[in-house]
Amino acid sequence: MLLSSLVAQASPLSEQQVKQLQGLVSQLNPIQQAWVSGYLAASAQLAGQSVAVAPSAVAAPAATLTVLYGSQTGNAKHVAEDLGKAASGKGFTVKVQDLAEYKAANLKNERFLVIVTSTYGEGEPPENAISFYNFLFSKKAPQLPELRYAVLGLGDTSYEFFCKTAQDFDQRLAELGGKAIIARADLDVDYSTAAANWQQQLITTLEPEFAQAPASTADVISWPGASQTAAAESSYSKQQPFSAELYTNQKITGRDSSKDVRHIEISLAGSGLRYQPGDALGVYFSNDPQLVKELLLLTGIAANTPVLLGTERLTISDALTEQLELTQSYPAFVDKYAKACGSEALQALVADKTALRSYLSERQIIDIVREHPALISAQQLVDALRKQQPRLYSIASSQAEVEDEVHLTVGVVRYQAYGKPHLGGASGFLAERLAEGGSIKVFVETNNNFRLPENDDTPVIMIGPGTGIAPFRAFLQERDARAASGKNWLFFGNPHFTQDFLYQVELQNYLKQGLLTRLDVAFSRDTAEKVYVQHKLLKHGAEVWQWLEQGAHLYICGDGARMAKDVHQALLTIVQQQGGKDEKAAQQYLDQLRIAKRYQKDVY
Amino acid sequence: MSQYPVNPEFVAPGKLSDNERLKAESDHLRGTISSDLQNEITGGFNGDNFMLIRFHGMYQQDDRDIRAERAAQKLEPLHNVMLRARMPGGIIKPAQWLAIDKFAAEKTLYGSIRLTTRQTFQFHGVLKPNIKPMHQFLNSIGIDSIATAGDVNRNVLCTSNPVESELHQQAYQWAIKISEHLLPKTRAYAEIWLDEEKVETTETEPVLGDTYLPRKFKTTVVIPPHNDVDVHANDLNFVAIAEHGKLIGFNVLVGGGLAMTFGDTSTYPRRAEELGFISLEHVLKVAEHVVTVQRDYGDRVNRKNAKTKYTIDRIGVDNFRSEVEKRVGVAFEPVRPYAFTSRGDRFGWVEGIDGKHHLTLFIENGRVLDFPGKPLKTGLAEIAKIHQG
Repeated sequence: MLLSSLVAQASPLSEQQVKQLQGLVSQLNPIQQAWVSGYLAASAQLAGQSVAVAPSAVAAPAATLTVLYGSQTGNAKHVAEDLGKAASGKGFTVKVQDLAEYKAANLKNERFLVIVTSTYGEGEPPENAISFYNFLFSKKAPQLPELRYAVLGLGDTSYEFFCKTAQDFDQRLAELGGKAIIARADLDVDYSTAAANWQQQLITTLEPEFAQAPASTADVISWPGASQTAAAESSYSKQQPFSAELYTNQKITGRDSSKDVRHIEISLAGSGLRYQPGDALGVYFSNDPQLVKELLLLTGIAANTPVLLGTERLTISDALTEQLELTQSYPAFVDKYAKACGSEALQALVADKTALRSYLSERQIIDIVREHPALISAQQLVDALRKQQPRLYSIASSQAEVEDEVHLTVGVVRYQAYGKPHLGGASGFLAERLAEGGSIKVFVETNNNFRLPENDDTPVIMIGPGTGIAPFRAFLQERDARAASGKNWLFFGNPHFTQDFLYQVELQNYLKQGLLTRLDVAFSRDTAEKVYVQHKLLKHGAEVWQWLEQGAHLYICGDGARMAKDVHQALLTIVQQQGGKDEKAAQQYLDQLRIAKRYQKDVY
Repeated sequence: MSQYPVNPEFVAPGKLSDNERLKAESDHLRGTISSDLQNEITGGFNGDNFMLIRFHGMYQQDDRDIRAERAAQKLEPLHNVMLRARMPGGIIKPAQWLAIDKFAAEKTLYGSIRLTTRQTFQFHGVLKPNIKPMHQFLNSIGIDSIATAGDVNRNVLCTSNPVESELHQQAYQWAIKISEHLLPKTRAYAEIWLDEEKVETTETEPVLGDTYLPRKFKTTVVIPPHNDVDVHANDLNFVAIAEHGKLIGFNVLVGGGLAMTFGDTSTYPRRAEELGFISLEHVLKVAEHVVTVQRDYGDRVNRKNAKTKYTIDRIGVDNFRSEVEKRVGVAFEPVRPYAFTSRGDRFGWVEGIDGKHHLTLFIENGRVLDFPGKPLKTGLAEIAKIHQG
């Protein structure tokens, strides 16, 4: 609902009234807007008037811009939503939709289609795009001679299959007869400026088409409904994170564990932030001051040297500590740094993509600079680095239980390499640098593709080894608070029973009270033969199948590179063996579960 | 119920303690231990099983020093068990020693072997997945842990008297026989820990009874003049009487016990007293019926007054003796003369009658482990390697 896009033709207001309304609204913050909205809706109802606007009487088909997103971490979703807002602002009729929600049968009716997508793992589509992707590449995909489309890829150049899914969509839509509106763009981690430019270019190109079309914008206005959603939303977001207080930082692995996992409790008091089990918390962090100091020493830059970051002027020390990415390395840095310091060795490395990827896989920014120290200017260093991206953690609590707190389960990235200790950016900040009582910038990243069943009677099977247990702690708290009668089955795994049984006592209590119907655990390093969650699934295959046939929803959270694949394979085996299906039918069975939202993944 | 007429006047009145319920409901010490072993969610034993494993020679423990730390980590206490082996007379062979040395190093949290005042060894810090393998391993070297804890006859002590080495050999054989005679007859241990088949028979416990003893029961075999095992601290004591170096029988002393609860005047230390002399052919029967009399008349209401010493004081030593005599069918002869001249251990080397030299070594706290500058455990293992036993 965009007030800025309100035009007189589309509303029951006069042009004068629209201007007055826009004037007022521009001075209001979102909470005030929500209040006004609710107030007006309520008074209108009291007056016995219907405020719903009848659909435009104009019968001519409206040109609709359909924007679909395939998103793993929410970035593609945000870019799609921004695009939707901007296009509506120009008077376009826009529909923005999650690819998981999109009915593929509608594809043949689309005239203007935009797909914004990330890529997952080894060039696979993100979880919510899989069904659509499979449809598009199947024989069922229709010819699309009328279609005009645009694809925007978001990715990370550190990965071999950078923006692979976007390329696939682009190529396939062209094959099916679609015509590109503008060329596809493949964007790196710091995509925001480039995404804005691409969006601008797209809208400019489309404007003539949409200007000709009648402005049928009946769907833009819906006063009463708007008040409800708006009131629930907080004014804090990824762009405007909330400065929250760290309540608790508690190590929850034993003293002899090889892993350091922290249970983090953060206060959201006063933020109005709401989240649901399945959502993630975005976290901004400060880099390690020691790391900043060393980097400045190696490059011969004084800490207080002023630099320009976008349009902001600040000291290099502040830029490095608060705004730039120092832990995750990436190809563009090597390229720019190599040029800045004139290192031939690094330049040669940049030319060899495979060698570069392997070089980067185990090095943080500091390792590269330690190996190739060079006196460069402060601005050169800043320009070589990209903006820090917030890290997302699956939320480990339910507000039904913890109210205005949010809990996380954070695995601390800590390792020794090249003779030096290394620490993850966000996890190091949370675990070691941020004192309890200190503040941390956070926002809620909704994830509608990882949700408990709406029906409380529905059984759920949760597979969450390691820190993958986080959202299931949230699920269990929620089911407990709702007194949901559905059965709950959790699979958990980690290296050692005595050291790594995350939330052991809580889970034992859930078992005792009967909330957890079953808990099966796999501690891989306690036995001669390594046992993982997929082995436990297979062991109890008959019961898993029984639960699925009873309508159970299935959830996987945790490592996507191996665990989620192994678990998927185990599920295929179970469906084949227990359901008496061949491999293809088993695959279809799981696809159907996915489409029915009964098989959801939150993997990383 | 007892197979002997029980005089109701000698039975302590009142509501039975909860331990009596759990023994009665335990299906001869099985409980649900097997299903707890399958439970991968906790390292401990649940409910009655926590107590029942004691009858199989184990105590559930945890590392108290890190209890609070683990609670904060949302982890349960570091549950583990201590196992106490059954080794009548405390003799272990070199091959057995080397095997337990290795097990302690590889499969226990603390890596040590503990030697105890009851002439046996203990493993400390055994995690649940290692418990069953531990029993199977012990069984493979001829050791078990049956009834080394709980309300049963515990490990039978025998004077370690290498000077009187021939007499010691004879007495030691009796320690083994008594120990075995008084063992629980239930096959629970074999079924649970050694995976032996469940045999479909009606099980009974003719000696210990279906609810076992009211309290722990300790037996010694002692060779005067050395009272190293301390008869006054034990329920049942056989004092070896020899003629011309040959064992002919025992004086029987009962009702010793030094424990008391501070502030509870109904508890007190008590010296063992004499029932009389018996010849060798009656040893097992007498042992059995001192146990059955204590079984039938020991206090099952108040565990603090449940030991043999309190039974004797409650019903009178003459009544106790005549009950035993009635059940054995033999009267005690007058006590043969004997005298104790020493208590405690004689450290250092001594030469036995057989000409072999014996060393009594002081082990602080009985803790066999390598310490900085003092590789005790390695040293003992090295001795075991060269010793032929």
